[in-house]
Formats: sequence, structure tokens, C-alpha cells
Amino acid sequence: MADLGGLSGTGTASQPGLRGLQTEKELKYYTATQAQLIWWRFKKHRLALLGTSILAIFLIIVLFANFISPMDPFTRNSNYIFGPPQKLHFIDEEGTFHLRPFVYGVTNELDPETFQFNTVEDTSQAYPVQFFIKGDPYKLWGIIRTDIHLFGVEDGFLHLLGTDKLGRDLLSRAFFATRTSLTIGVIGMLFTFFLGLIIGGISGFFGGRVDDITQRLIEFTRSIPDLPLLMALAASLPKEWSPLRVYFSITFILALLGWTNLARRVRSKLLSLREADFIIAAKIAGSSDARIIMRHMLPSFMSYIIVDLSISFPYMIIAETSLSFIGLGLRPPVISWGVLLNESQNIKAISQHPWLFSPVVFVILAVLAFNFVGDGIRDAADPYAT
Amino acid sequence: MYKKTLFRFLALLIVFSMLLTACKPSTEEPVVEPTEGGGPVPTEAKPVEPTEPSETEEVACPASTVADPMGVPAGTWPQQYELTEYEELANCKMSFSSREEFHPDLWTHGFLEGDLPPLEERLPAEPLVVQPYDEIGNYGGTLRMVSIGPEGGNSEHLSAKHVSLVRFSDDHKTIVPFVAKSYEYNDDFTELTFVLRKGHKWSDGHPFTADDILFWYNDVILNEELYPSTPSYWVFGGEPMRMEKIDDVTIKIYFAAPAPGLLTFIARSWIQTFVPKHYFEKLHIEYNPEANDVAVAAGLANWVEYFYKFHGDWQDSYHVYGIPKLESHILVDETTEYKIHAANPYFFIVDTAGNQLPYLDEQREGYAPDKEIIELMVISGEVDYKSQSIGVTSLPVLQENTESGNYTIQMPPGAGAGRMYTFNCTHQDPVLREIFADPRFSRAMSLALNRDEINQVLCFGLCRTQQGIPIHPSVSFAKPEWYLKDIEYDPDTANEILDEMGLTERDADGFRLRPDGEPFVIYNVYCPQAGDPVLHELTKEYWEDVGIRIELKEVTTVNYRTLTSVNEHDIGNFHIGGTSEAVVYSNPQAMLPPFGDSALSAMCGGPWYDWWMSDGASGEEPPEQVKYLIDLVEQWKVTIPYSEEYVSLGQETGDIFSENFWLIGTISESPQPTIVSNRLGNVPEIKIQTFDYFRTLPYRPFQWYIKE
Repeated sequence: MADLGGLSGTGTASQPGLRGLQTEKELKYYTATQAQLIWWRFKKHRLALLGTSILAIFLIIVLFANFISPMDPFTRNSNYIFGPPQKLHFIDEEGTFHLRPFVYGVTNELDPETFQFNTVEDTSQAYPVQFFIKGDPYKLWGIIRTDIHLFGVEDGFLHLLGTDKLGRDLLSRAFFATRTSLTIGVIGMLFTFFLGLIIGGISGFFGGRVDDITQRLIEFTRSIPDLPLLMALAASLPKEWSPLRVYFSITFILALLGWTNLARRVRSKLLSLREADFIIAAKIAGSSDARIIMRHMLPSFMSYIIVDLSISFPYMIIAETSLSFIGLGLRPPVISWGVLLNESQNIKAISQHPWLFSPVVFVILAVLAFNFVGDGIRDAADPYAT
Repeated sequence: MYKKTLFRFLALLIVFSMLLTACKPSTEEPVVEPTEGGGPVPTEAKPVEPTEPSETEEVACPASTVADPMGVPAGTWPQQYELTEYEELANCKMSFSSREEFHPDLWTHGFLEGDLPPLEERLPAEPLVVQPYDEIGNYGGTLRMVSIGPEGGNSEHLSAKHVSLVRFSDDHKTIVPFVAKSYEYNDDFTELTFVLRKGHKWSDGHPFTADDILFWYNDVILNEELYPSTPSYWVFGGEPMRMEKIDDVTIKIYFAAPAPGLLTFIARSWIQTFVPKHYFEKLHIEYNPEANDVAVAAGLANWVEYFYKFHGDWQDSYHVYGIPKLESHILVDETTEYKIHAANPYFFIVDTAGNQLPYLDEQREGYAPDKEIIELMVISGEVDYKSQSIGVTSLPVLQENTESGNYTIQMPPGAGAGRMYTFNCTHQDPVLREIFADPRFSRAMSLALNRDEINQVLCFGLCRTQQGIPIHPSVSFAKPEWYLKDIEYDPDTANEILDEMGLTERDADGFRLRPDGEPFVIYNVYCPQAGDPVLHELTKEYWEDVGIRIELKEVTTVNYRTLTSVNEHDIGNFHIGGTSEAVVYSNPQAMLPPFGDSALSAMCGGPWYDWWMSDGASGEEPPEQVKYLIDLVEQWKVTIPYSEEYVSLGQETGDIFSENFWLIGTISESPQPTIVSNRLGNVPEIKIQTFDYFRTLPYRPFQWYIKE
């Protein structure tokens, strides 16, 4: 008996119309659509739920980066270069509790002897955190011109993750980096994914001549060496393109080259499935090709594809920085996770400015969330499995 | 007591005044102060006793130092003496001593056989006597240095054992005898004479004579197989210099045109102007008709290839044991991880107490491929001396660990021209060229820069904000106003100038348009080797604030150079190397188009350079003023250093730069943090840290020692 997705019956009410089914819950289970079954099963996977909520937060960050960032990611606070994260306080010097958190004013001065910044909190100046506050102007989605930020302080400054070598707010930069890395990375990844899925699917399902032609195409594509091609691209891409645009087109081109592996795997899986009893049954029952692929074949190896996807995600982030050595990766002034982490890769950051590593948390969360969600979907994708 | 002091002082004064009349002028050494003449005298050395001349023969020489001259007056040259000169001045007789044992590998690697002859036979008859900076050192110890890799980032290690005919003294101005005993130019700088030391020997005990210099020049440099064209260093007035042996210790060089820069070049260069003839003649086809067979037997194509296995201008290009050297330390051990050089038993320098130098038993050069690893090695106290590859931004970490690493950080200035920008004045796009070639544009761009902030962010405020002039402010004829012109932060005036130039139209984002209505975007393509890219992030913002849109793009050094060498760049931003007096004088590259280190890293004016080099056959004819500049610099090159003409021509050159804004300066090259281990003695305050004067050489590393 299949796991009933947490619905296995304890109730006693009987349903006379349906033979052998004891409870309303069981009834519900057996009449549910596949999507419902997947959702029920997915809900049981707590980590997957957690991952989903993290991804939801990331989605909000991606969509509203300008709004939730306390300031513009390029605004320099020259009074607070390499400033450590400011502490949020609820209780002031006198021990009074404030519902509205506040930060103290901070001075950050360079010691001419040791070349270290001395950070001193000035407890006489408290800046309460305010919401929907006016700050650096920006254009939301390139359309709406406004200067309202989700939170911030008046007069003073608020750097909850500290600042970098130019005194730029690290939290804001991390938000913008999330936007860049997630959108470009995910778009490139999805593009590869769909190309591989569709071409591999066609090849494996139809077989014969179609398969032959597709396989030769794959072999041809695979024979194109990546590095010389990328170097040629580096030289030929219009120089007036911004690094972001260059990187986006490179991920696009990489996707055009990179679908072959997935296509091969999808094809071989389909070739073996094609002969399976339930497919033959579906064919005899008169299902269309599209229905057979989408309805019967894809779900049966979905779990595999999902693992593939969630594993390839971290590679995307790494690729972002590794491409830079031929001038195609993301480099400042573009803000991305790779760029932020590159800036923290030195002894100085470890020993003096450890907060520069804070964007790592975003990367770890994103990678874990993708893996959890992938794991959850994989389990849920086959709701009849034991 | 008082009387005796006075008497001593008077006697000294007499000796000193006699000396002043007897010897050459031009010494920067401070006059011996009277209090020092009568000051306390250490027990191991006897004071100068001019009253009893009969006894002087037996009196041991005072172990004077730069810090405490012990009454010995300054000689012809700062901080060093000829043996007889010192004995006369100190009224003493020097007796020599040396370390007991030398590195055993000197024997196993084929330099030496059997017992060493006594010290008196190993030293020249006329050894060079140097005053240590602080104290007479003790023998022993290893100087631990680190570089990026074999032949990579290791000029400071090479300089620590380097010898040349002459070298710069630590005032960076006086050229003092070194391997040569003396030098002399004739009045119009067309002849230069070097006198060597009698009895000077190579590290294998073979005599070093004028023949070794003649062999180096006539048979190596002028050999067309070894050097298909004579290197430009040795060419004056279009002809290679000519060399003549007067006797075993005298050599005379003749030039077709005045060559006042040659002595400077020899003093600051990494090239050693002598090779051991007795060793190399076996490899040379003109001396050994079978040289080609020897080379083939060794697995190489011909004698030239084989010769280069043992010889190179860069002094660690050989990886072979047993080549005779004059250097203080000789290669005895080499692996892929380190190199060890051991003290040369035939080294020609002694200290004022008669101890043969060097004090250091060994110099060890380790390799660390990464700057971060070098920093870690410094922090953990594994390095005795380091400045190459250490930047100002490493200071917080290095400063924090001075105690655990047992070192001191010195902060001498560098001698480079600093970080500069040039808008390509010979741009291929005629519209951009017209804008970029207009000095008003560069002036506006200069005023738009907030140099104080740049200084804070990149240099902890330790650099000097300055305008772009390819002449270092320390150069004798430099005008202070060159460096101060238009360096204030004044975006309003910058905007006014740009408006006045007709760049008034703006796009929706507030960026200025080109006069033809096209978008005006300047691409700042840079490579990290040219310096911290943060500078470009900052300047992008300053320039965008006055409406000039900048796009940044990072590429590799090779890509950057390809771009600039074919004149396809908008902005030149590569660093310009040596601009200190010795370099601008002997090789004024940055003052001429394309205003960079070389044609490879052009700032602007590449086509002018091509025109000039091809005598008008290719490239583009430069404007009159640039042609005038080229003539001016050519004229200036053959003037006598520090002469009136030298100063006025040099100043005119600087004025032309100041007017034309070919270079926009930001901050001067930052101080060069120099790590000196506390266990290292006799290292003075480093005044300039630069390859221009060959790193450590002016600070006489042969008298450094390990205190423990």
C-alpha cells in the first residue's frame, strides 16, 4: 500500500458507495489529482518547505532589491571605510527598553601608526531604525522613480553588515548581488535545461532517423572546444557592451553548447522507457505523442532531472568568477556574489575585516535551499513510490 | 682634560684641512664634528694619536662606523675609503682577518681546490675599506629572502650580492668606486677611464684584470653571434663605444658623442660589465675553435646557445655552479624551491677593523608563488628583508604582527610616476580624438578627481596627490608647480570647461553627448597588473558626476597591451616605471611619445612614435610641439648632469608636459613598505625603495649581518 501522504485513515465513517474504501481521507486520496498528491507529499518534507520559504525570500530580494536595500550599492560613506557591522540595540544605556530598534552613531578612524581602523560607538547619538524612509533615489524595475527605502535611519547611517574598502554598504551590495547572480545564473541554467530536455526528448522518443540526426548534431556541438571559442567571443563581442550584458550573452552561448550532456541522458532514459509496458499501453489507448511524453515519460524520470538541476546550480556561481580571466566574467563595478567574494579572498579580510565574508551566507543559503527544494520535489514527483 | 680634548681637536682639524686640499671635491659626508673627535673611545680600538708619529706603524686601525666615526675624517667618498687613504687618515696600520671556514660546497661544486691561500693573498693589494653603518658585525648567519619564483620578482635579492664597477652611494647622488678603484671622465665626457684594484681575484682565485672587461665588451657584447645588434646602452652618437686597455688595471672607454649618462647607467644597472675571461674563453669560438663541438657534446645546437647557459645580463639567468664571480655571495645550492649563495672567500671589501666582508655566511632566496604567502611568511618571521610585492594595503596586517614576526617596517618612498590616466590623444575616431587632444578636456577630467579621497582609499592617505609629470619630484630640476597644477577637487569648474568645449547636450540619464549627437561613452579597459582596480571604480564615479560616461572592463595584461600597442584604447592607464633622476637621465622613455614605459604600454601618441621611429615612413606626423619635444629630449640627453643647460632643457620638457596634460596624475607611487628583520644589523634607513638605483645596493648589503 502506498504511503497515503499522512492521510492514512483513523476515521471510522464508512462510504457505502465506494467499495473497500474506509474513510473520507482515503477517498480523498484516491480521487486526488497527481498535482495534489505531489503537493501533499511535498508538504511533508520539512526541509523542502524551509527551502521553499528561503527561495521565496530570495525572490522578493530579486524583485525589490532597490527597495529593501537601505542605500544605493555604490554610495560611498567615506566616514566609515571598512566599517564593522553596526549593532542593533533595543535597550539603551539607561536600561530602558525600546520597541523600535536603534543604532548608535559610530566613528571609524584610521590609526596612523597601526593602519587599523578604530571603531568607537558614540552612545549619546542614537538613530532609531525607521521604515519607509527617504534615501538614495532609484528607479524600481527601471520605471518607477522613487527614493523610499524599506528601512533606514535619518541623519546618521545604518550598515548592518558593515562596509567595504570604499565605505559601501555591504547589506545593500549583497541584495544587489543576489539579484544579479540569481537571475543570470538561473536563467542560463534553465535555458540549458529546456534545450537539453526538448532535444533529448525528441531524439529518444522518435528514435530512428530523427535520433541519428540529433546524435550527430550533439557530437558536432560537443566537438567545439569551449575555451578557444570563448576567447574568440571575448575578442568579437562589441566592446561597448557592459560586463553584465557580456556575461549574459556568454551564459546564453554556454547554454547553446552545454545542453548536449543532459540531452544524451534524457534520450537514453526515454529510449528505455519507450519499450516499457505502460507506454505501450498508453499508445494503444490512443494517447498523442505529446501526452505520452509529458504525462507518462517525463514524470517517471523527473527525479533524476531535478537532482541534475540542483547540482548544476552551484557550478553556475563558480563559473561566474572563473570566466573572468578571459575578460568574460563578472567584474566590478558589476555586483554579484562572485565579485563580492573575490574581494574578501585575502589575508587582510580574514584577519581584519571578517564581515566582508557575510555574502557567503547568502550563497550557502541559496545553494542549500535549491538542494532542499530539489530533494523535496524529487521525492514528491513520484507520489506513488514507497 | 679639557686641554687634551682641544689639542686632539686641533690636530684633527689640521689633518682634515690637509685632506680637503688633497682630494677630490663633491662629498656629501658631514664634516666631522669636534665633539666626536674627543668623544669616548671604545676599548678595542686605540684612539688616533697624531702626537707620536713613530708609533703609528703599530697602531691598529679604529673600528669606525658611520654612526661613530671615532675621529676618522671623511675620505674622498662617503662611507668608504681606499686602504692607504684610511691608514693615512686614521694614522694606523690595518691588519686583516676573516672567517675561519667557508661553505664546503664551494669545493664540491668546483670553484676551489685544496686549502685556501692566506687572507692577504685572497684580498686585493688595495682592498676597499667600508665603514659599517652602526657597528662591526660578526660572521655567520643566513639572510633569508623570498621572491615569487626563479627570475621573478627577485631584483632585491640580486641586488644584495651585486657588484659593479661603480655604484650609487646612499645619498642617491654620489657615484662611488666599487669594483673599480677610481673613475674619471675627460672634460667633454667623450672618454671615461676606470682604474681597477691591483691583485683583485675572481672567486676561484684567478686574477681579475682589465682583460676581463675587454673580453666582456669586445668578445661578448660586440660579438655579432651573441648580440646580433649592440644593446643601446653601449651606443653613443650612433656608434658603439670603443674600449682600450692601458695596462692590467686601467681601461679607457671612448665615445663618439658625449656620454655623461654611461657612468650613471653602470652604477644603477643590473648588468655586470665584466666576465671571467679564463672561464669563458673555453666556450667562445674565437678562443676555442672546438667550442661548437663542446656545445654539441653538451646537447646544444652551437656555441652561442651553450655560452648563454653560463652568461646573461640578468644576474641569475645561469643555473650552473662554478662560474667565477666577484659578487659577495656565490651560488652553491639550487633547487626548485630555493637558492643558496655562500660567502665569497675572495671578496674585495674589508670593514674598518680589517675584517673581510661579507659578514653573512649565506643568502637564501626562497620562492613563494603568491603575494599572500609572502605576507604570511613575513608575519611568521621567516623573512629578513622584503619590499618587492609588498603593498601599502598589506600594512594593517603587517603592522599588527611586527612583534610576533620580529621585524620593523620602514616606509621609504618609491620612485615611480604613480597612477596616471591619459585620454588617447591619437584616437582613431576623429571626433574622440578632437576631444581627447584638447588640453581643456584633460584639465576638466583632472579637476573632477577627488584625489584626497583616492589617497585615503588606496593609500591610507600616505601617498602624495599630484599632477602627471614623467619626472619624479626628487629630480634636481623639478618645479613644484608642475605637481600642484589643477589637482584640486573642483567639479563645478570641470563642468564649466566641458560646457565651454561644446559638450552641452545630455541624454536622458544626464550623460553628455558627443558634438555629433552620438552617445559619448569612454571605455576604461584596464588590467590588474597596473595597480589596484579600485582606482578605476572611483574615477568612473568622479567622471560620471560631471556627465562623462565611463564603462569599465578588466582584461589581462597581454590584452591590454595589444589594445594600446595598436592604438585602439580610449584611456591609457598602465603604470609608468622609473622617473627618478638616474633613469630619466640615462633613458628618458616616458618623456617621449607614447609617454609610457615602452611602445607596449602606450599612453597616447603611438602613431607619432611610429612616425618618429620610421623616419616618417609610417605612422602619423606629430604636431609641431611634439616634434619640438622629441628634439628637446634628444638634446637634453647629452648635456652634462646638473649643468645649467641640463636644468633649463629639463625644465622646458616638464613645462611642455604641464601645458599639454598628456598625463593626468592621481596619486604618486605609494610608499614601499620595507620589512627589515630585527635580527639584521647595519641596515640604515632606506631613503628610496626602487629598482632605479638597484634596490638595496646603495645600502651596502655586504656589511649587513645577523645579530644573534
